Amino acid sequence: MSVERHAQERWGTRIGLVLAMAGNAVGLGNFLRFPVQAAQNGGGTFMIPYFISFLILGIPLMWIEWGVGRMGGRHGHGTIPGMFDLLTDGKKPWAKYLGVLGIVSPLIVFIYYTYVVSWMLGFSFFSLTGHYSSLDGVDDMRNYLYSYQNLTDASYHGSLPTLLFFFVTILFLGWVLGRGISGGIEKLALIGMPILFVFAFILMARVLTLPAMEASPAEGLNFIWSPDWGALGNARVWLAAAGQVFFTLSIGMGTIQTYSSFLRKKDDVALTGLSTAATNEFAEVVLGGTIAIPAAVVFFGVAGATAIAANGTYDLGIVAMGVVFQGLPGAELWGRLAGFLWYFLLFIAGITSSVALASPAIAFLKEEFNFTRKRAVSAVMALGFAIGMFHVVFYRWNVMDEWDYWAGTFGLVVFAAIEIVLFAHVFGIERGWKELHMGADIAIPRIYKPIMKWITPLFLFLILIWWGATEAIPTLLMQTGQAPETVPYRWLSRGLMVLMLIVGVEMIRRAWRNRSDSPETVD
Amino acid sequence: MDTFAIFFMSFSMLAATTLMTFCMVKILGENQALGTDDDE
Repeated sequence: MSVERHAQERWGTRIGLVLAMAGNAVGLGNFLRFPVQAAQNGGGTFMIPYFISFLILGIPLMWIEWGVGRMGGRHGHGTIPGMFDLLTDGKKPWAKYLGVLGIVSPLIVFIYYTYVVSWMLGFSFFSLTGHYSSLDGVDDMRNYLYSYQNLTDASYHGSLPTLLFFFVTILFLGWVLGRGISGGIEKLALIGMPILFVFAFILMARVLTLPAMEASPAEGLNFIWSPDWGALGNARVWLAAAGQVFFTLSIGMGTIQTYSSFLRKKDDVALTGLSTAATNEFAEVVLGGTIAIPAAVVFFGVAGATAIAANGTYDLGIVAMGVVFQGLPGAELWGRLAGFLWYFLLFIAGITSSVALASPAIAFLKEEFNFTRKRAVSAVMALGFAIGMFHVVFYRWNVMDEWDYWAGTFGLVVFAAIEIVLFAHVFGIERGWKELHMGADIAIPRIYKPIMKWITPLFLFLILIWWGATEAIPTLLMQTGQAPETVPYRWLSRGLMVLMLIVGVEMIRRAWRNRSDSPETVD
Repeated sequence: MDTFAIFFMSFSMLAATTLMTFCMVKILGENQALGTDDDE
């Protein structure tokens, strides 16, 4: 029953699939997080652990997630609980419950991430209309952003713009997702991704041809890429590199599996999966590394850019870049347009990731509870807006950090560790290898067989052990420097996330009770 | 710019660009269309 139901939706073209998957991976982190991580963790030498992590963590997990997703789709499962059930041949009833992470984690991230994406829509509008063009300097621009984020601070904005742009973003997402895989998500990627690349190339060319002010563009590039050889001996740098690879490729989420579940049995996953990883790396290393930080160095000097980067990605991406584009040589209109290009680029990068983050929950409601696509989309968007209001109202108490840490950081590593053990050791690497090569356009190098079986799991468990030894207790007890007034809101956040997990587990239990077919065995 | 900074930047960008170009050329060279359910 569910196989036919799942097969009603398919990707239209291969290039559309690659761009949709790349859209899932290319997000705010490519343009904001990567250059900050590189600059703070050894500069050029950061790329050594980064590329090693890409090869032994990112690429194998990417292939596995594509393969698991396609296999799930063949058996009528578009989400992780069913896929984990398949990986255990239906013999381990607990496996499907572990799969709750592949629905609830992306849903949690979807909720706060979409709120951040709505800021980019808002700021692209403010830039184009010159709403902040009278502001002078970083401090004014920071207050402008804080006023936008804080509903009770009406110094620059009332609460209406914040709510309005969030609502419009949710409505737009609902419209895209309601049009289905080929007619909505794929079309968004086919239009959005080329625009994103064109905007990024224009901005890169403008930044690299800026006249020297506090520093030259070359000094900006030097700031990111200048090597600190001592960093190679620092475990923290290696973990930062592994983390960046993890997050930039959107692995450990459950989104890649849902997207690839709409492939057919013999559609290639080896070359197509590698292509999306490669497209993401291009966007990150080539484009992400040559816009925000070099521009900030030109305008504020190395010391100024360091201070801005230390304040986090929003200070760099929204505050500093707002000031930078206002200060561009030439007519004010060009500055406004450049600001619009930047914020709208980030909006596209974010929105193509948001549609992917919402997809597992939508697929789950459709397949397990017989929702129509429109009804499932409406339910997820309504939930996203309702819980998103928690972030809108309580943002100033740092609730988003708590959600991002557990669902968007820690949860990904836990999920990936479970997934790779099930794939390589329960399902079996030989069967898995055969699955990945079904219809493949390239042969995956054989060295990846032992890497998938031993090296990648070992790497993931080392990360978890390191976390357990150094961060677990203080983080759980909130002893890592949180402001005391934020603590109740952080606990409330944890409570909400746990509640979402419990509801997810209960829904999986009911879904399986409703399934009339017996456990499936993978052919 | 520092010589090593130029090296790391050039190498990283070249590696990312080459990998993406290789994949895209190969994909565009293959049949663009995905299979049909009849294949199954």
